[in-house]
Amino acid sequence: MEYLLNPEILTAQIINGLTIGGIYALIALGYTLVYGILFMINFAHGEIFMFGSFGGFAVLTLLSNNGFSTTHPTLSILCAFAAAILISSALGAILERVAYRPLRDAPRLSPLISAIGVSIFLQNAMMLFTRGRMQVYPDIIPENFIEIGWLSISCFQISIILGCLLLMTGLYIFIYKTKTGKAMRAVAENREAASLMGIDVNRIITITFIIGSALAAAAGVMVGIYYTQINHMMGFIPGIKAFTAAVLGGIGNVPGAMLGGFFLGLAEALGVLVMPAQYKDLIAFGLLILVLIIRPKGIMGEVVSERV
Amino acid sequence: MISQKQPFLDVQEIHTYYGKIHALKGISITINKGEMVTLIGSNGAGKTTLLNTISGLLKPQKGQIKFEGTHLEHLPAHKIVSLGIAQVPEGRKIFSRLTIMENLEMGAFIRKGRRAIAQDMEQIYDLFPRLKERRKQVAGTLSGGEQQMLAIARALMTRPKLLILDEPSMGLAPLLIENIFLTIKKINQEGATILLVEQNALLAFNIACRGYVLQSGKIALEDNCDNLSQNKMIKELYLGG
Amino acid sequence: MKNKYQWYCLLVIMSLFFIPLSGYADEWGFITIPNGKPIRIGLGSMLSGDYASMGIDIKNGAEMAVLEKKSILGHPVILQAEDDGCGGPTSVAIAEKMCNNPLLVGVVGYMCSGGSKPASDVHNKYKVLMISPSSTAMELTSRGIPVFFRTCWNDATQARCAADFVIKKKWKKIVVLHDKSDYGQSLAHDFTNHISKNGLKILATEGLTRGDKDFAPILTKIKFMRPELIYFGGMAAEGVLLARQMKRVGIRAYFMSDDGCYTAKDFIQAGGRATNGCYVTYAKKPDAQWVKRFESCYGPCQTFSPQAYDATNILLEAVTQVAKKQTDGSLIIGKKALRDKVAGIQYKGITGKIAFNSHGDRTGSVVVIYKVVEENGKRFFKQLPL
Repeated sequence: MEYLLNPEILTAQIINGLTIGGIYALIALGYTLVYGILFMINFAHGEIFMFGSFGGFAVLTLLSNNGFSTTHPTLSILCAFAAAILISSALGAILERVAYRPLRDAPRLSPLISAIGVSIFLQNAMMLFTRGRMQVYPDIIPENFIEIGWLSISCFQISIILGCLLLMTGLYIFIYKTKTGKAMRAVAENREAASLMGIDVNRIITITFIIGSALAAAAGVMVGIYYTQINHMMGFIPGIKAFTAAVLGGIGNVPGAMLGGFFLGLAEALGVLVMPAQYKDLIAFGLLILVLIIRPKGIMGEVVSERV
Repeated sequence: MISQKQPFLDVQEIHTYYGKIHALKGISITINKGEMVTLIGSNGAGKTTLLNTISGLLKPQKGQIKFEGTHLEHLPAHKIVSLGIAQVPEGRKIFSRLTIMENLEMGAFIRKGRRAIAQDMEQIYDLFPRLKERRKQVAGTLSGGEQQMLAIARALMTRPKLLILDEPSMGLAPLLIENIFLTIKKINQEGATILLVEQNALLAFNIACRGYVLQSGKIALEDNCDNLSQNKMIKELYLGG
Repeated sequence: MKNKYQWYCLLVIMSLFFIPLSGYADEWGFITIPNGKPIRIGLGSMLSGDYASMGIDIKNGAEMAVLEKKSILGHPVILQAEDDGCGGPTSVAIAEKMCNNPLLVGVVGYMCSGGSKPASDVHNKYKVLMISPSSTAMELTSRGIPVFFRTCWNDATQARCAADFVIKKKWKKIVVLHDKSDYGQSLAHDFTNHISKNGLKILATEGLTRGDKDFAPILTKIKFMRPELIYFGGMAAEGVLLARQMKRVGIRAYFMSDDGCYTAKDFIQAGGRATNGCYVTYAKKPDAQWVKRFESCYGPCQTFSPQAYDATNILLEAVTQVAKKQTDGSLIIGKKALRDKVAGIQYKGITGKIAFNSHGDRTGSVVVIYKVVEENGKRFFKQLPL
């Protein structure tokens, strides 16, 4: 308890919470977008995140080996993001086509099992490729700290939080202001009615997978740069936490996933102050249970009902 | 009665299965340009199945559908829309989480040209002033009648050559029904061909020029509406004696 | 009664026929390798999943030994590697599979203590030898399993070595972390015990989750306690993140961990500058020549490949000495004889002299302290003088 009253430690923890929360939120958006449109949990989403991280890793390693990254650090990082997004988006689109579309009309359990299978497949594929070894992101930009008294805030943390907010704003504008975004929402609500409007439902579903995967890829590169080491299992825990965040916010609800991610990150960081750290996961999943009991549809769960 | 020139919509001997149920057992109908044709039948006769087969939501096992000479049997629903067929689905199926304006925008999804779309939207607001008042509202907050108007308006935004309406009167108050039917008539008079499915046969015969009676997946009768409304069997079955 | 006696006589006479054939008797039975068939060495370690890196390293060590040996008495030796996932049920299933293979002479494994413990019961049932290169839990050698040996050390040895070092350094403010696994917890526990016995106090003990990447919240909390040392019982994946994130949140304390962090690639390379000055406990350096040979085939030597190499060689050595070639070209190996040979072995391995005590643990002091140092631009584990 004493920690909670200390303003410095509290600020540090809030920044820690927002950093990891932003990453949870980016991944959670992928779960929620896909769920909103297909009513299925894409359990391979954590692996899409992992592949994105490896994509960024490959590019950064290449650029740092040939010295390009020392002269153009910012450009190199942008390249890494671009490559990661490209790889993950392609992977997401292929997965949808190969593993989920054939099961579109099957019982709801089938695509779920397919997703779990894909997840294990991707993990092992990457393991064979990397021989199971930890890979380390090269240091492109030195990590600077902003020191305020006892506090030290990493500029990486600030960039991650800002980056996440930027991507989320972008996504929000896309979904609510563009024609394709509106079509996504229309398809999510009623696939048949949408196709009667001339909307190519399959195309919209593919786009949804691509956007979700791209956000996960961005999160993957951020994790790579911030935590520096990645391996084939890196998608598992963030995947589960992000899924929790999505459910917390109300799965299928886009602002809910953003809120859920930050909420979970903060809860974990602050929870460590009031109880021993071994209960960190207990906090996350305890919250999930609590929210599901009090508000089964999540914090931002649907309140609009269709009148007939 | 079929004219020498090609019919506008030509449905030939189609068989459609709904899961394992043989829902349509060889149905043929034709619609000429500018007509308003009605389709009546009891629940489960296959009306909605027929409409969904025309609009591409369901695929026929056998038979063919031609619209202005183009085969529709193997086209996906969204392609059929761009050929000029719009369907107002049963139960309206508006996008309740989108605003009214966004619903109309979705209607114009296949179209290009901002100005034309904006013009059409203004026209539609003239036709349904209620929608204009509430255009920024989420469609889920509309009343049943307003939702029906929105569903029709949304279909009109595709600029259809053929408008298919599936039970537009369902669940509405009599006064509203009259209002909606007047609108439908107006749309027809303005040049759109209409295929109207209705349970309320009397109303349908009042505004349509020809009608088909569907019974357990087959066409039982076909005639002009005046004759149909005099038909003894129809009187007993659909017009309440 | 009489009838029974007759049967007994028959049995004795029949067995008299067999004994001269096989040449000798063995109370646990024999392994027979028919002519032209290979001798199989089993290997159970984690080949996929979180710690596949460590598991594959173990496999490489064993593979190298088998490839070097090539054959015993004209029978080729092959390695049968199985992925036991480092866990109870899978390890048991793999153990059953291995023990029921008539051509298998013994198993190098299993990797994790959590797998070795249930698997050793299966091995005891079939009396098939197992030599673990990496299972360090105390209880493994205190359960009276005659077929279990290990070429690594046990946790208590390691924790005590670390604690002694801390006491010698006179560090007073200590925080203990573990990864909530049996392994990490038992190390943390033994370390704490030994420290407390010497009158020192632990400021806090906290657990973290394997596979997690973000330890900033817990480290921020620890920073507030102003510790001099953070001891971590766990593996490199988390250890290296702790070392890095300690610097990030601004903790100026020493970091000390266990054999799980003794890996050049996953700890030093992954952690970079942040690992400078970190301490780990691990076995004495393996033979330098061997390391060179290993690294030319498999890349950087990680953690337990030397122990796996020695374990495999001990098994091969024992088989070579015990196996009897028959006139039809087949090999006969007495299971008890094989076990006794291993139990009494005096082997000069690349990890030092290997002999087992009556429980199956290695005799002699095995564990030393390493410090990560940077010299001439190269970062490596430097063994501290005892």
